[in-house]
Amino acid sequence: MKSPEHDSPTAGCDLKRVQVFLNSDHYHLEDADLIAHLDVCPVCRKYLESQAGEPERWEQASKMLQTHEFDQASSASFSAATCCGSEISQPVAVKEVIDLLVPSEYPNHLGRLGTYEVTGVVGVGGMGVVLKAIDPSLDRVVAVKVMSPRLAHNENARKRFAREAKAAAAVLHPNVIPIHSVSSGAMLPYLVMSYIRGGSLQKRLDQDGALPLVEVLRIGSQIAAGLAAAHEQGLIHRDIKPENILLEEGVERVTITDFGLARSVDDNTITQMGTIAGTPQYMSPEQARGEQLDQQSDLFSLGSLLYALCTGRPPFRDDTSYGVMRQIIDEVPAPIRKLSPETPVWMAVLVEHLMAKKKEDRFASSKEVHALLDACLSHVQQPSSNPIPSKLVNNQPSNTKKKRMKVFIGIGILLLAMSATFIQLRSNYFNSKLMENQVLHRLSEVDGYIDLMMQSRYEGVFLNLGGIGKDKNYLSLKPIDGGVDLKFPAYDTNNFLNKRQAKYVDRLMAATNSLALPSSEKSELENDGSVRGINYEYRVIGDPEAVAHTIKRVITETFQIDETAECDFTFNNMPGNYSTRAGQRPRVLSNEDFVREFASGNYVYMGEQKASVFLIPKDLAVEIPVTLDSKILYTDVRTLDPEDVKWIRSSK
Amino acid sequence: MTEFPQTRSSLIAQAQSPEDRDAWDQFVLIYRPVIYRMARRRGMQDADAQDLSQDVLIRISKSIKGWVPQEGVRFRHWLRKVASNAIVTALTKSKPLGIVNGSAAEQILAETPEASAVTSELHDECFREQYLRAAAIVRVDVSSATWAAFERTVIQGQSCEEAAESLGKSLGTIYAARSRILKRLQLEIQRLVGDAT
Repeated sequence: MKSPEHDSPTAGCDLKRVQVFLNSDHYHLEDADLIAHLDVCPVCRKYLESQAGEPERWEQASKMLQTHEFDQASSASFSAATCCGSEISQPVAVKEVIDLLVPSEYPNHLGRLGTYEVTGVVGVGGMGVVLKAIDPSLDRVVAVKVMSPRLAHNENARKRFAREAKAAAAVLHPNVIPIHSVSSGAMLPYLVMSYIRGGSLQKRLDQDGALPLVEVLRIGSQIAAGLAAAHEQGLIHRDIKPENILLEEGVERVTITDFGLARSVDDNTITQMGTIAGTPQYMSPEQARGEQLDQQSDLFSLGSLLYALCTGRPPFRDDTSYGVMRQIIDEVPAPIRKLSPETPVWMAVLVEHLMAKKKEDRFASSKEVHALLDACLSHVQQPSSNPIPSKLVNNQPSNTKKKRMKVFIGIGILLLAMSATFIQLRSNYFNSKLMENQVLHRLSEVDGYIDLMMQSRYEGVFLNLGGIGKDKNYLSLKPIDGGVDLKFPAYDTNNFLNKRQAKYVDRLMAATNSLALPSSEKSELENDGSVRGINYEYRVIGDPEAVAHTIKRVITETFQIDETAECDFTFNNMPGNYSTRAGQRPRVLSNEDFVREFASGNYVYMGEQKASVFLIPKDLAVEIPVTLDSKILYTDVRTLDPEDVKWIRSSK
Repeated sequence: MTEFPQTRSSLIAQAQSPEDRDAWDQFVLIYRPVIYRMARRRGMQDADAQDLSQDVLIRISKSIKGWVPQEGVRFRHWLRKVASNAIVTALTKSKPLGIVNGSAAEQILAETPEASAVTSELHDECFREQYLRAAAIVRVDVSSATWAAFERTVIQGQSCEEAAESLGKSLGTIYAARSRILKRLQLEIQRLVGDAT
């Protein structure tokens, strides 16, 4: 470094700025001026390093991250060590294959396989190595997939290879790589495919990150078309991922390759070895569980691939394959529109539908998906003459609609601040069965609470307005497709002994009548035939804002929220759908701090587990899944001071 | 990619609460490679070392049934004690003791010097694995160029000037990148280790 050096801070030095740069929460914050200054200023460099860590810390990092002898052992890939070491050396499989080639007459060639002159290595696939070769008879470049020598010893594997090759060769489609010939009798079985100049979709993703919508649709539609052709032949690809999609150079054509893992649907003899093959990131849940697969599995993988194209990252990520697979089975990925807000809702809906955990919830076939993606592509290219496929607008998977509805209701309903003086939690802690939780609140807090609950991941909200005898009287609000379902099962209404009960029913009916809501009444009978109660059910359907407005009116008119009345809210216990980030834990608070936070109104009651009660910040309550990290608070329910929070034995 | 099927289905189910299951998952992530490496260092072949790490984990997981929540004892602490005993037993080839409880395990460990060496090696290995995990987390969060600056200068021992030249970056960029990563790495390791202790 020949730049002028100084031994003491100069006018250009700004140590505070170095601090800010280093400690910035915005990790990607760049400070070009500071970096330019660091180029020439050893003082600031030294200061930066000392602030980053003491000398021992630098040494520790160096020592800890050195690659050790057993870190890179081929099968020990479960260690985090493999994530950090330097480039992994060329796989043994490639060497083994090259060693077995017949020497070539051409000095630049790697060797000869049959009549093919091998000129290079394209990559390593599921069952072997892909070589680049010249087919001298036609003087064309081809890709030769050679079965790995280790597998070639195994008769079953050879049979499987041959079967796959034949199956793949039977698929003739512009978006599926053509197979020219198969040689299964040779010492090393191999198949010869077209060589496609260009790179894989993975390479494109690595270079460009998220792709423009039009590209996503173009690529997606072609993959779906290729899959449809394969599926028609009874094939499952089993390993749809960006790495297996080739983008031909200069042509807008997408080719699915590596049917190496593909197999016939009716073939469940050889491949029932119980081993899971393929990169886990794009696996389907059924694949991760090691279950029998059908074509629906490819649709899930296609969904994950589209997700990656829209957002620039695969939907499920973890340090280990094991972690990824767990997420695939248990967790819902972050919403596409959260990572990439410019993605249209219908696109997010399509991907979400493809990535349904249950295969029955996905689209019926790859053919249908192809048609949809094609229609979407036309829409994006010419919105005026091509509407969005109605399936993605009117027939959204109910989950998405519900979520959207919840958010709108949240906006629609006025949020009232909770009062700190009177909070009663009716706990089930003292119950043997953890079934339900109830929170008792003043009615003045009703709409605020509904707002929170509607935004949360709970399926619905129940307002309990005082029980009569063994029956509870409550209003349930449940998000449904296109609206909200209101239910009011009023028991004991035939004698109206309970004034409050009667009052609510009257008001509810008046409110719903004035709003002309479609309704139904169903009598609920006792075993002896007498009327037990009447179920009033109202559906509020329409555009989300209007629905929210209507709900708000029904609630305020029915309950005429005043300051003193109380009601119960009942909802499910801890959400089943949550994730944890390595090392992250909910934060434990003292009972007093916990009560203070709860009273602040910034947190929603989340639920209980064992002897702990949890609170979740309002803004996180809308996230699915919930991440259990330090933003979530908990305290020991057993020591809560009854003066602060009244814990009441649940009546159930 | 090696799956660990026993863990996911039957064994995890034995840890009843999600919190404990989570602790178990974290535990397996750290201990499995640790046991593997310690076994390899003692001359075991790849497959044998994998078997051993799986065996030990299975034995530990079986003892989860014996876990009774008690005041002041956290599942992960209890698990660590049980694990330490099982691993030391497996690696020192002392006569199998089965899984014993925390206090008994401590007694046994105090008795043999060989065991105490293994215990300290185990401790170091666990820390290193956590360090590697922290690095893996940080690596995902930064650009590959940023990581390369850190990797070359801190891990591979290149000078900052050499790294700047070979990566085609300015010297300031290299300094900024490696310092930020070290800082972040320490936060991450604190989080991981802090959580486990």
